[in-house]
Amino acid sequence: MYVLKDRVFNVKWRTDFDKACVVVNFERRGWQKWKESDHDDWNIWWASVYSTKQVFSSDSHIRLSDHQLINHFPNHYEITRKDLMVKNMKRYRKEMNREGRDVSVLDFVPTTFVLPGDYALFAEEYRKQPNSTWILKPSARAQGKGIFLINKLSQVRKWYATQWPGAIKVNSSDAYVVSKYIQNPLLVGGKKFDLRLYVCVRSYRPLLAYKSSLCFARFCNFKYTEDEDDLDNAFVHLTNVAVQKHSESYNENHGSKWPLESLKFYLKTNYGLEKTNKLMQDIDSIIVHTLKACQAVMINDRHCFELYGYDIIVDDTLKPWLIEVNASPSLSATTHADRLLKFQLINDTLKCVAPKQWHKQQQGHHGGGHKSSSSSSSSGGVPNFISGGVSPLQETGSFTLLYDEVSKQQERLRLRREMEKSESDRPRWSTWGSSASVASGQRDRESSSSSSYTRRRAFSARRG
Amino acid sequence: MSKNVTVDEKEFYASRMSLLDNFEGSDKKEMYRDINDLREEIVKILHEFGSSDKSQLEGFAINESLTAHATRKASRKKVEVKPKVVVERSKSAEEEEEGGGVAEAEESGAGGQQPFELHGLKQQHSALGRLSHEWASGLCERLKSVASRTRVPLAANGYDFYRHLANGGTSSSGEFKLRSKDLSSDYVEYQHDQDGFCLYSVDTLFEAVQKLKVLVDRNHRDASPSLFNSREVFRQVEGSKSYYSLEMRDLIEYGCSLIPKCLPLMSCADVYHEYSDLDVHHAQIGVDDLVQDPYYTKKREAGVQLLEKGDVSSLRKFCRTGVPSEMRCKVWAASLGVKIDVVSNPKKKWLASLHRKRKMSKMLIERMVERDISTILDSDHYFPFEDILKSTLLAFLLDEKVLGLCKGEAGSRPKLYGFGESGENHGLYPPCGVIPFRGMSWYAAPLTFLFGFQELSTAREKTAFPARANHLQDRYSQRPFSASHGLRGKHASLSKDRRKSETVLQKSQEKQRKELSSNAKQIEDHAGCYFFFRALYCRYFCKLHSGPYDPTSGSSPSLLGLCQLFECLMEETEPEVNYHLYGIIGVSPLALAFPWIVQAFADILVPEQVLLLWDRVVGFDSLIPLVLLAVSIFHYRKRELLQCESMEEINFFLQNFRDILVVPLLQKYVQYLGKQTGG
Repeated sequence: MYVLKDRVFNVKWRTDFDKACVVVNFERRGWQKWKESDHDDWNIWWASVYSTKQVFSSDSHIRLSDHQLINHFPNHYEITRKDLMVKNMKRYRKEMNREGRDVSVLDFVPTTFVLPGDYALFAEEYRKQPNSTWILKPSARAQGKGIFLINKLSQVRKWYATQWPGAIKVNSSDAYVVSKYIQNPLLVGGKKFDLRLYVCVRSYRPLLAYKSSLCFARFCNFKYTEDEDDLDNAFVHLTNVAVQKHSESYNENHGSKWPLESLKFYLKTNYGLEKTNKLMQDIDSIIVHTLKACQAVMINDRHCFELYGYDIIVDDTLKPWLIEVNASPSLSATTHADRLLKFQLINDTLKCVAPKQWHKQQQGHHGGGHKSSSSSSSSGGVPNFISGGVSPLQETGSFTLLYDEVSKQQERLRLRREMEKSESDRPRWSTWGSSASVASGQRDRESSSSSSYTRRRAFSARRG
Repeated sequence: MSKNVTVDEKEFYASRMSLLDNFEGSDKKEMYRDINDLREEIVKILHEFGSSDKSQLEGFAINESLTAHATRKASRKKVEVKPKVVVERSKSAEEEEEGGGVAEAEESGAGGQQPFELHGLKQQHSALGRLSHEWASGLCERLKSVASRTRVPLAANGYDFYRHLANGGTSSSGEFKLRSKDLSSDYVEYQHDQDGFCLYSVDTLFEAVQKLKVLVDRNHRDASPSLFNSREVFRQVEGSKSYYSLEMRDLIEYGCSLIPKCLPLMSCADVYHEYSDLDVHHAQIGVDDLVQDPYYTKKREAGVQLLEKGDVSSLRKFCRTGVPSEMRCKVWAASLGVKIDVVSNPKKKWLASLHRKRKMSKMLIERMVERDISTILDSDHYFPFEDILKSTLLAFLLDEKVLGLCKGEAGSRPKLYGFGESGENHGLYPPCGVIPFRGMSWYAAPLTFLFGFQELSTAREKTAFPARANHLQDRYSQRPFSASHGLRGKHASLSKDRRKSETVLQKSQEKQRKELSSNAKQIEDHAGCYFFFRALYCRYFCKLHSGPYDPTSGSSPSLLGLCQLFECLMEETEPEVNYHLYGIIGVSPLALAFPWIVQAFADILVPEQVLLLWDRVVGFDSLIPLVLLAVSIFHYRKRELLQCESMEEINFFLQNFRDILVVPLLQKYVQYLGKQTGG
């Protein structure tokens, strides 16, 4: 073990996106830009999905060091690919069922099948509810490309025949998902909208997630109608900005984006405070459950964090429905307000994920950062990534803590200890083992994951 | 004549010279100089009527009115009988003549077409009367010029009132006439950036208010009590800083205020006494509900009980500390005397008739209001409410009952009348009697948030998708998702085509029927918002652009009174800021706050905050809370403002109101006011 005494630790940033909101945020912190000659010497990389794949591929031979951060998890597609998401949700539901927990909280995904695999199941379901409308989406495309609506099984049959002629083996990236279309969306001013929420996940095991208050509703430019003639009118049904931008009535001043505060106020006025709060809680619960559903399969690399864009539709009974999750939410700004919002978003994301020491450098003495050794993770100056639990003093900007497994566990432990203590006064169940056997299966599961986590931490400390 | 005349100007003069040669007894050189003077004068006059676009002024306005002015000058030279009258008349009177000139000039050019005239209401010779007359005549002028330029009639045929107007003969008085080139034809589509300028703007209003000071100063210079007040203020500041002395004399002479102090005035102590409900000792919706949750529900329960009783005065008192947002609609309605839940049948019929009229006749002014609305739709808070805003405001323009509802304000408001051939009065233009100004639609905008639910519950028809849909048509081939799959456009055969055309016909008929019924439904849906807006406008917002304080019109002072109160509060409670702005930077605080007050803060605060502020307006049954908020913003930004050294810096600090929470600001200021007055 050696220490490079005179080395000034400078944060180096790298990005695949030439987006102002990313670049300016790095520059404002006084961090250095990565150059080609630096090769693998970067500290934070705002990478595209593609370069993330390369970094983590088995033949890249890149081993991320302790102070390197990248903005994607290696297998983020587990949550963002529509078909995989459905699969994960189904598994999660089974688990919850097995544990005897209430699965009705998971009814936030519209009935969904993956085509071509589940075609028979879909046909059966369709026969149960004839005249219903379904939406078909390619599972690996974004920005509303390739999406269409159908309300006749025959349409699907025809399309099916042209899409997958014969019995050719289907590449999974060609897959389509077909989901029940939300036919009664909540309308404001007669127009349909969906919500875009930003969620930042710092770690999956233990789960540590933040939710941003910088959200907005994206509106369709045309009035919503259930008229079958307009079934193929994207401007009525799809809220993606990439789609709506092409509409004649697209307004560049607001870009059809309604601030969340306006929506909340509108709902409060027209539906009451309680229902509005319930909706917001339901939305939080959707986010937590989707993350938990993928918790087990996600490769929890501690160099990774991820900023997700959640798309949620609210129906006219104020029930939120999950549409999809994006791993690379659009950072290009369409309006001035949008620009400010996205700048703030990246700023706050960095606040959440980057080690404190990096920020200190920015606040106080420029250039005169702290000394560090490149290999030691126990020396004081080196950023220690996963702090395990969040100190209440951490600055998160517009992000609020959504779920922190560690502190939840600690809380649970504390409660258990208190319980024990009170029980030890009446000496009946005084041993650890007995109280543990009382604890529910869920607790067991979580405590086991926590113990594996503590083991890992111990390991990494030893390695240092 | 100035030395550096541009080529354009030279050409301009040359072309004018040939025209002017025709006039008898005019020396060329003299005329040349006259033109220069005239040009300036006209630009100045026109500038007062709300056009900030110089190029437009110099292009259009001068071309049209220069000849007219020349005619008038020439005629004045000939007829030496009435010079005294001319001198006595103020600028506004001159404009009348000018307007007449324009019309005459046009008359000679375009004979044989139907005339259309509008008369500015003749007011008594008071300063205020003149003021409102100027608004009316100025607006009339602008309307006419835009109408003739864009070839859009002021009102098209079909609506009886306007047909009658249009059929009127030539004018007898020769004052305001419009020769619309194309009256009988239907509405002409036009696109012109400047047509919005016809509506008078907040700036125009402010200029008018400023002009009033000059008028009053001329008459009551000695008697004006404002001198005393401001002298007091400056005596306080005088000792501390020596460099103030240079401007001191000016300031004392003219007073620190723009509004003459000859109107009755509330003292600061009175204000505190009356508005002490706003201070920190009272729990308020807008701040306490953010901190402690039970307050909101408690307040709501209290509100439900009050609503059952229906006592207006106690409901108002309830409004003073804010209304929980889900019951705002009901509480306001009860305290304003509008029944929202059961909009009665005659009312619905009335509204429907307004909408029918709207379909039949198209007014130029309607177009302008539409343009005004479109500026609101650019804001990210209000764009979903396009329909309800449009139907509310356009119906409002045609509602003849509005004027009667604005009690006590009838005399003081600028109005335009249509006159027939023999001078008979055809009523107001537009029929509601309210000349819309730029930004008027903002008054309706925050209300749209209160009425979304009604629209939601009735507008949607719960029809399942009909089963007889055969296939998707290839109508949207250019649209994003049609190209990506092979469903469409592949199974079109001849026989199918025929069937298709039949079904398309059926469908289009069906669609029309549907549209009609949905239109009717929409009108019903918007009825609540409409009558709500009308009540609110007639009780409060109409006062924001009418001149004098009329004690019979309810407790709220109108624009001048509000401005005066603002200046008074600034002088008494924020003398440092007041002097810093007025003396050092050279901008009157009123000039900064004027747009906020006139727009009732609707365009700068976020919707929730606007409504919280209006809660207080309804609660105190007065517009004074607007003034209190304006002063409290200066109070709140005091430290920053005192460090500012230029207009840009000031604007920077008074620019972003998005994060402002109204209630804490008001509380803080009222508290401070209490301390100041020893209350």
